[in-house]
Amino acid sequence: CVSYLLYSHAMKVLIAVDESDIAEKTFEWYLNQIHKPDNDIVVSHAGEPPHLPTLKFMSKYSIDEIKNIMTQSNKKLEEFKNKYSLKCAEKKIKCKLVFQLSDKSPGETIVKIANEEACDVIVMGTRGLGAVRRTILGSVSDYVIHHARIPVIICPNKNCS
Amino acid sequence: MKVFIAVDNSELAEKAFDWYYRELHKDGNDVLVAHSAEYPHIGSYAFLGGQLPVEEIHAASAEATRKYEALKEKYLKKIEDQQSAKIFFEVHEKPAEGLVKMAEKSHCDFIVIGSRGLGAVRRTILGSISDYVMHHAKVPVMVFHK
Repeated sequence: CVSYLLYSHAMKVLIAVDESDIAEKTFEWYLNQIHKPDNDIVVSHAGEPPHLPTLKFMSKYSIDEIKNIMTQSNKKLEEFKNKYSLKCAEKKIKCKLVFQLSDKSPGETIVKIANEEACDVIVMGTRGLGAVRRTILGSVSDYVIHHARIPVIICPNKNCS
Repeated sequence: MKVFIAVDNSELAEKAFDWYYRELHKDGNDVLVAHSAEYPHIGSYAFLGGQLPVEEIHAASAEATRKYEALKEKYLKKIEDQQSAKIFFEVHEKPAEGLVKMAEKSHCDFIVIGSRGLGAVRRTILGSISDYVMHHAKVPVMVFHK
């Protein structure tokens, strides 16, 4: 029989996160249970841009207001990115952070980033902050599973110890 | 970590199994190679004559048993050199539900399953069994493509 040790090599892992607790638990679970020292990690966030009040009924839009919203949004993104940057530094793990806002759906963006970064596997939670609690599987993870060409690891809400 | 690898006779199941060992396996992981076999099907046309289709039943049963044993042999051989790997084969009326029950019974921490098996409907990217397992598992599930 074949000895698998001979074939072991480094893997590039994409961990897709949002601001939810599940994402954090998924990240921790991956590091504790799956991570190998040689693995390259890409932590990615595919956010949606804020809604801009470009048109208000019967009144002109305010450029300042729009600027403000965009600044806030970028600031939040930076803070969120730093949060994961710190996590990686704490665990002494080198990782690449790809945090972006896009008009495309988060699922599409995640698959796109996975392709661009030539990842071997995607790790993500079943659901994030989405409002539709009826579904057990969130729409983003659902999309990624159906469209990714690489293995996808989905971590459920509860047992990610 | 206790790993539950769901397999069937498909090539993809074997690729998922190999990929797990090549990329994810760590010393200390216990592995269960699991299969949830279905009861053999006998087309209902066979019962139309009013008589029990004894020969068909025997044939279907023998064939199902043969395939089951062959699959078991195949994976027993693959895990020969692994210290902490075991075979876990059961028969259930519904294979998807069976897999989830088996996974829970085994108290596994992680499930590995191919995105599709031997199912005939090739239009769908995700097979019905992996889809079911993913929606009902209480632990992380890896769905393997390629």
